[in-house]
Amino acid sequence: MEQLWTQLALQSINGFVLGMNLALIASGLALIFGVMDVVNFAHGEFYMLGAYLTWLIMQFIPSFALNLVVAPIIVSALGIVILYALLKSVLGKKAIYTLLATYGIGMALRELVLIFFGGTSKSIQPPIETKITILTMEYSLYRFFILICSLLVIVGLWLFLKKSKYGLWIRATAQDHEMAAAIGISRPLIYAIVFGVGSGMASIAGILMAPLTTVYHTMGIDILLLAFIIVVVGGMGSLKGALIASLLIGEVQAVGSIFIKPTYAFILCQILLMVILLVRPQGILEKR
Amino acid sequence: MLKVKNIHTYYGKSHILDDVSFEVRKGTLVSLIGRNGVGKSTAVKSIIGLTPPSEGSITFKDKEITGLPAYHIAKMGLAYVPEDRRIFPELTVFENLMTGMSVKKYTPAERETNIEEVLTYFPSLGPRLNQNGDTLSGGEQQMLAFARALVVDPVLLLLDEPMEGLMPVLVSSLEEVLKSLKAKAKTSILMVEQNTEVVLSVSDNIYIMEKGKIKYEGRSDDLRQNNSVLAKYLGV
Amino acid sequence: MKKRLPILVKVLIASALVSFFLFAPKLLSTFYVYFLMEIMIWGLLAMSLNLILGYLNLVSFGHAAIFGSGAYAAAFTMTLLGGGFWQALGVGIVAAALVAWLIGFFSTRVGGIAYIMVTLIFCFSVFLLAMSATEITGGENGIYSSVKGLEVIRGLSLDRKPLYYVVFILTALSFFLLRRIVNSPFGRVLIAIRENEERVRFMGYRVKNFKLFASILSGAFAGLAGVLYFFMNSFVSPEAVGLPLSTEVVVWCLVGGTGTMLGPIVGTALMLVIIQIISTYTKFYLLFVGIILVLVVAFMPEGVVGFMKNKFSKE
Repeated sequence: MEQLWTQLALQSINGFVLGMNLALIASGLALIFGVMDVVNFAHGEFYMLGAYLTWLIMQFIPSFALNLVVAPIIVSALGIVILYALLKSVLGKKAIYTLLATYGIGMALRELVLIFFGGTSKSIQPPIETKITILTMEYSLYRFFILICSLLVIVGLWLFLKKSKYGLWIRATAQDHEMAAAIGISRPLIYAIVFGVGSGMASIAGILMAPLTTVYHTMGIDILLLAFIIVVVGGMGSLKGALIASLLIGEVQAVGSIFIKPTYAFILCQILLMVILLVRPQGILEKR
Repeated sequence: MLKVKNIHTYYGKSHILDDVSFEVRKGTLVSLIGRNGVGKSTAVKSIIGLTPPSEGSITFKDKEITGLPAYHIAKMGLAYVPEDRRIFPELTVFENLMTGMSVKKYTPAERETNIEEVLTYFPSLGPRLNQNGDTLSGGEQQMLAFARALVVDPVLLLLDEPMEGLMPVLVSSLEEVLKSLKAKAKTSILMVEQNTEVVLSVSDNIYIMEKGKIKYEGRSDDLRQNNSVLAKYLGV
Repeated sequence: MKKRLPILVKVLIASALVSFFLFAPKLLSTFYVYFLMEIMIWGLLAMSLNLILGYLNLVSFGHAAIFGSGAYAAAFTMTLLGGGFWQALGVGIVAAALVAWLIGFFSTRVGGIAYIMVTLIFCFSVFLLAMSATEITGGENGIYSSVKGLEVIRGLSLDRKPLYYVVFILTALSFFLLRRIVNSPFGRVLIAIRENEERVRFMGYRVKNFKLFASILSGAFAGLAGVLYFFMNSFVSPEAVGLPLSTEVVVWCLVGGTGTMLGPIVGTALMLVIIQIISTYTKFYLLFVGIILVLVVAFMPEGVVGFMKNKFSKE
């Protein structure tokens, strides 16, 4: 029985860590959808690219901290390039088209990574190897590091949206993009910022998780599904909803895996989704 | 100030604006009137760039603005108060006012002054500065939409049915605001409006539209004396 | 004056195609016969999806789950129930229709993007189930059950050639059936819902029921494709219910054009041929598929058939 309580405690913490990390990805997805009406099927690839870039750079400069700062910037820039080079022509069209375009881009990115890096997974040493003891069990301090970093980024996003000029523009565009334009807010600029921030956040999530999951070319789509569930459950486009749903799903996954196989834990999330859809089809919180 | 020359605007296959021309001279208030559906709103939207014309030319201060993206046009000094208010519902009143100002280069002091000035026109907004836009009543939202446009010292103000759905009390106060703006002569105004009384009272020039075309142009004094014209086009 | 492709030309093309398909087993090697069967089966799957994708704008990313359920059900019928050709066919179609009902019940409650996500998530769950319920589904390894010698009708057993004709006949039948459905009053209601759901609802139609029924119908055809898939391979594995397959089906429909029932099958054939060609040069064919996808969406969103239709009816 002791064992169970300890496991529950540890998994609850894990759930929190996983949830916050998921929140990084899901917030980006929700933000891009809320402001641009784009379902970004390539979002997982930004997560993956963050990890691969970090591995690559670390072959030359073995500093994890450096990568945590530099790699997201590169991925954001890449995201913006992709947006304006490839997605511009589909932006106004029906959702299915942007969806398929981003899916195609994601597919191409995965293959490119496969071509350049090969099929074997790469490992990255966690920057913090110390373990601490919680309730007689060992727990990796690095996971707390992930938690804190994710939390900082989320808080940073919140501050950015609420307090900064660009945040105001983004919120205005999300609520009424025509009127925002008529006020003088440049839509191309806002789209670039939103897409850049979203992809950057996804890449940070990927970098943080990489030491735990290893780096492989399908790591993006593996996590994208969970992110989609979160965005639907949270209410399409709602950031607060995405955060709540992330923590919820993180906990369900983590605590659930004590009792059932991890794959079944996903199905649990699926059932959760179904229940919520029955009760509240618009998700926990409505758009924005 | 603003010259609209022979523009044609389509919505899909519908020919909404058919060879429309009018102008707004500096410091004047020009009204565009006509029955519902004649294209008045579209004319304003064409100017601000939301429904660009497919033919013709619109110049502002002798610069061609046809085909420019809306945000570019707005930055040149045009401010738009749309027909359905369209204040940002989840931004506070203060934030709504800031959306326009944050695009231009104002110092914090100037921003404060602008807000104070605008609040003298619309005092009911003052105590609501930190409330979300969607908690305001319909009339207050209209005030906010107007204030949001005024707060950026616009060179040209575009108003689309500003009096619609307002209580007579609010209509009068808006009328006063318009008169006061005219008196200060800093802003030129183009107004689309159904309320003929107000139109006659504040306008310098009036254009009457019917089925996408301009049918009549005249000074408001002339129209006041010549009731038959209004009767013909508006059934008034 | 509309310039349409003269009826005579259409008939000629159709006859040529039909003859080609009819005589293929005699003219081509096993590999190509197999390839043609694949085109037909995947084409059938694509058509089934298009019933809700093209005519109701319901972008289902879960059709593989339905298709695969039909395949698995056929496999179970043979291995667990000892059933034959017709039993497997029947059970497979019904099972798929039931899965379509389950998914449709939840997915039609939401619209637009949420619909896509819900069907996608459902599909992945089915995939996980197929992977983990090893005792029943064989897990990763799937189920193998040779269909050689399976009796279709007295005297005719399911070897490669008869199988080819069975597939051909059923696919052709399905094509004509689906065309009749979309051109029927029922089909017209679907199109009306796609164009203006609110108005149809105001007219008194229970839109949700129409959507659900169309989903079930679509599922039945997808299940048929699944059964045929199982017959073709004597094998089914979680790949048949996976998301990659679901997405591929959507892509095929879009490449061909979702406006008609012809589009999906043209799109499928086109994509399969292109992939076959590219695969002979590089194993990274997915890169090109991705690029093609982006190009089609950007420049030819109405699909090949849609594009051709526009060209030939310019006023």
